[in-house]
Amino acid sequence: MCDDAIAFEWTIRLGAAAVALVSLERLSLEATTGGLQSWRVLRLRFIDAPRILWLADAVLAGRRYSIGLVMGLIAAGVTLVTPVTSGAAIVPLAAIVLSLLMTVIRSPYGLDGADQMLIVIYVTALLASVAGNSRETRSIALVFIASQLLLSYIVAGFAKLRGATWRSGDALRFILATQTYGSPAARRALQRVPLLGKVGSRLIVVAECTVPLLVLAGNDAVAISTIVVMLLFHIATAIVMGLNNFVLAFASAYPALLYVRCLLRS
Amino acid sequence: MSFGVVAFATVCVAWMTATLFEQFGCRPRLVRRLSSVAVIPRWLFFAPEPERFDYFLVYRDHAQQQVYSPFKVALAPSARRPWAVLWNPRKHELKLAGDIVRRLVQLARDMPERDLAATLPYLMLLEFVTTLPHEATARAVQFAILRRRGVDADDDFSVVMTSAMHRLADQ
Repeated sequence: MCDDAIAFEWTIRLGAAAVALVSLERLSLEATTGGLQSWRVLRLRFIDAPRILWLADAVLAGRRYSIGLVMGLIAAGVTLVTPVTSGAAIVPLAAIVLSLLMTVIRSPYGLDGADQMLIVIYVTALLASVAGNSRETRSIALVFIASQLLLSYIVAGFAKLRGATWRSGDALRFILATQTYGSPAARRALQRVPLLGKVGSRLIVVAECTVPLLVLAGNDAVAISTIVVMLLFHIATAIVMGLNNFVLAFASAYPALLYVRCLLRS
Repeated sequence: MSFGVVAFATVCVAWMTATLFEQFGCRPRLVRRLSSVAVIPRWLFFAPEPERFDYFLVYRDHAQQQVYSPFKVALAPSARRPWAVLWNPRKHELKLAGDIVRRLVQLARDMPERDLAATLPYLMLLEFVTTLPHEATARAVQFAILRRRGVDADDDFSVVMTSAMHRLADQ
């Protein structure tokens, strides 16, 4: 994976699948319960800045947000089937970035880590393309995306160390006890074997804190096993907690991570 | 090395520096502005303390004098379908509702109710409940936020906050 073009292509294509999924999910939600994000209310945030308000109205009022999601969906489809290292790739990349930014500018609430990761990946990819889409820019983009990925795990891990419930091993039980993020099967399993929750909570903290070290400093077997374990972790959160968008969003940064590991080893 | 490559590298270094500032809660004005649109990520994922509550938004209509409708559920978490591992639009709605409610509860701690009613999260919930079905005789609406500590909790529901009565526009 020391080939910057291949790593860049895989990162963008996996990310495109995540963008397509999130755009479709948000579109279906807009069609049913868009009322919680009424633009009539959300636009009040910009009331003190008339120029920004005018621009925000022009881009986000009425059905324009849904049109932006459709645009992101089409651009993701185009990115999946066309070469991402060509000059023309700049157009679908710009459309995806615009679509993602429309979501985050529209409302300060409701965004998650997967949205943040997709913004990191696509804004970086767009800037790399604008700067020439050369070997150097792709390499810088991949190093940056991999650094953000590793930072995401380290920060999450060390932030959890500050939390009493993560240290005591109760966090997983508390989260899975809720209807929002839990599941009946996981709840029953933790009730039957409380040790599972205790060990699971602490394992998550240890894993998040040590991922960078294991991937960058470990031998091939350790590095690949770590990446597989993290991927399984995201799949598990999709199954148990319903966070399906994290799988593709975070997996799309793994080719960048493998590229950086290869750079460091060579 | 071309100007484009140097400029791009500079942007990446600045972006990474801003991300590091954001993680440590040290937020200069520019970082604060950019992080408000999620360009500067904050990688916390259920840390330092995870969410322990389910939140419920309920509302009731006021017709005249002391006549109120029973409370109706506007938003509540529900059991996920088996295919949620592949297709789960509801999570965006629940995350949105959870974020709004948590922010509102935070604001309610240090704000008089009159000022609270002018905040964005309050107005978002109010606008939402006014768009829901109402009794034909309804003249005003009130919403409330309830929470429950887990599905099997013994403490059942507790009321986090109730809004004032707000007049409904003529139907």
